Amino acid sequence: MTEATVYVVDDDRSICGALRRLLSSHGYAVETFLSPADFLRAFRPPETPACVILDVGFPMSDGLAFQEELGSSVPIPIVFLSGTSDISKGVRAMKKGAVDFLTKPVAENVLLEAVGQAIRKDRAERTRREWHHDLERRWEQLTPREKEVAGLVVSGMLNKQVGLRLHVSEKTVKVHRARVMEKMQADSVADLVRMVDAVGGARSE
Amino acid sequence: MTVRPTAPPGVSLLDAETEDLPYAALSAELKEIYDRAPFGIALFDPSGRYAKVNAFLAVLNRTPIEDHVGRTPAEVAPETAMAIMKAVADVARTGEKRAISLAPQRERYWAAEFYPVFDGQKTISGVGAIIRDLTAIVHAERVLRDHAEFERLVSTVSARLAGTPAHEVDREIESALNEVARFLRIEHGTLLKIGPRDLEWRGIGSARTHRRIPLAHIGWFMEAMRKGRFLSAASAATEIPARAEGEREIVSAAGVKSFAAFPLIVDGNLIGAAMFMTFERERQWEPEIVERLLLLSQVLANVLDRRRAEEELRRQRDELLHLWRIGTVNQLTATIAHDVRQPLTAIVANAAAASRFLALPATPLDEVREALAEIQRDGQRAGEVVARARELLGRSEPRNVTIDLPRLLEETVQLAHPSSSALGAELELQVAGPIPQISGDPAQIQQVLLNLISNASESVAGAAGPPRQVRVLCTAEDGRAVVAVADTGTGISEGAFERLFEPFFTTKDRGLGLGLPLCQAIVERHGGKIAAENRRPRGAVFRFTLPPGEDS
Repeated sequence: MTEATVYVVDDDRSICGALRRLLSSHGYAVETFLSPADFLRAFRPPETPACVILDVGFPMSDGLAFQEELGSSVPIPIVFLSGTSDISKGVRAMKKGAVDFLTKPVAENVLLEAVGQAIRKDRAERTRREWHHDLERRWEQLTPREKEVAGLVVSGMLNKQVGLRLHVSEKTVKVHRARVMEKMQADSVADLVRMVDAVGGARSE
Repeated sequence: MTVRPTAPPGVSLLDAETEDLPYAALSAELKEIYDRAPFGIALFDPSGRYAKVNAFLAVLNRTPIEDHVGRTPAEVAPETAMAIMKAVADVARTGEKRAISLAPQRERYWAAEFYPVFDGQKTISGVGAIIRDLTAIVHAERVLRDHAEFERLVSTVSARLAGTPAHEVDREIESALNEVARFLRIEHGTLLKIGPRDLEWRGIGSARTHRRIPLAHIGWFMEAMRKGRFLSAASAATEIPARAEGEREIVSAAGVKSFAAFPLIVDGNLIGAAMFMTFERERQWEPEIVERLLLLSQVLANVLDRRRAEEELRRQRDELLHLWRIGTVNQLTATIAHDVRQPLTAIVANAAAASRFLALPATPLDEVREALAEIQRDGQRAGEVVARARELLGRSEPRNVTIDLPRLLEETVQLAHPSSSALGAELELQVAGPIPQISGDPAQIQQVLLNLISNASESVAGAAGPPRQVRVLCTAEDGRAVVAVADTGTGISEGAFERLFEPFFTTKDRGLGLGLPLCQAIVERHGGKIAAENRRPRGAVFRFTLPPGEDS
């Protein structure tokens, strides 16, 4: 398994130590923090897929507020761990997109399952981000004319129509189109449509 | 009315025949008065012998009129002779009026006025006397005095009963009834308690057994009582109607000769009856006696009602305390559950980790050892939480033991620490000087303190900025222990101030609003007082005092 990092945030030292022990025995890299504030201070976006296990019992910078704060800088999946059986908190957490809401004491398999799910989610997200980043880079490689053509092609126009619109010949359109497909590395028009969508829609006039 | 007969010159009063006197016409009226007077009229000669007496006096002295004449009082009315003769002699000698009251003879009271009788030459020719029977007046006075004394007695009894604690009221009432009975010369007075189905009657004297009489058996009696009518029988054996079989049986079995029963009614409810009885002799129940006993019954009814109200109040307070305990218990249970879950989480995770390490081809033994050591530590931690929980949840009956207050405060502050810190409050304890030992229930005192600390911590959490302090101070003042919980929180708003200790009043959107009223109930039960104040620049302080224990 490729490396993955789990951040544990809990004010109980014993719990931090025990979870570190358990998660590292499963091959995860673990970092522990005694408060959300400590975590936010020390946090650097990790190289590997990661998730946070967060104790809900923090006041002031409440677990849920932390979730929001964290989401605004880097969206790392959160697994909540709670010492009380407050259902309303759990519901709120889940609505805000937490991966899971677990109660203490937590069984090994339950914890690992949730962590696994969170890491997978993060990995998928990272992949998506990379892909998106890639797309943007490719798009930047297109000339303005090529961008125009791309925009019209994905809108469903035939080459002839594109030519009429841009006051060029059909042949010229075909050439541009081929370049676009190559630079964008799109396998089909459908592909291109998705890519253009992802990059921010047609940017032609 | 004084009669001063004067004779025309030459005629002596000592002439027996008044008809001879020229003033016969006038004298006929006087004669009428003389004969029919409801008081005694006598004429003495200067030597002190009876010259004339009227019919009234003759009856009084139980001697015919003619047997008076020429005799001295010593011969006719020996009991009063001395006083009369002295008075007569005085008047004859000095010519001045005299008035005397005679010592009671055979329970009758007399007053007599003596005056000189002059003949034409201003010589004293005799001494006249008016003798009045004061018995009725004296009797009336005595009745009035008796009445005043009775009312004083009822007042005293009533005042005493007013100060009697609820559980001693029955005994005091019995003793009051007997005191009154003695005063009124009735043999015995007792309180009958009327319940929903039966009547309770304590036996008298040697037969001091509790009797429960089903109300169904005493229908005649109960009907009168329910209607608010008193029942009396001068002769129990004959005056109880034949149909009242149950009553007849009870009365004869107990040997009651006469009785009078007065219902005790409060708010339309019959709560009992005051019963007066005689066993040796039958007696009449004179109207004045009955009137007084009715008055007494009213006093007793009020006392019983007050006792009932006090008991109701106590019951409600106990229920409130119970409710709070349950609420507090729920809260505590949640806290304790949380506190136990923490070490358990670590234990479970460490055990799982150790298992995995052991399954590895190259087991990192150090890691395993560490994990096991942590498990032990956390196990102990969990145990401590449970132990504290048992202490805290306490018993259902309040204890009364000697309490080392500083130590109790220390333990409590330690207990409260996690939740206070969770709210961001800095909790601190300061004990100043020697604190007197107090007696009471440690669990209850702890509850008061936890409640105050919790309120203070929440207040501090809601404050705009630092400082966020909650300080528990313990000092001694005038021999009492004083505990104060001071915070730098948001303080108490003016509107809330008045209602702080009002049940169900709360400014939070959670909670019953029972915390402070119950703190007050507990503190007051321990003989102390609790009060609150706002602080400058910000915050509030709750202070309660506790009196020293019995041994201090």
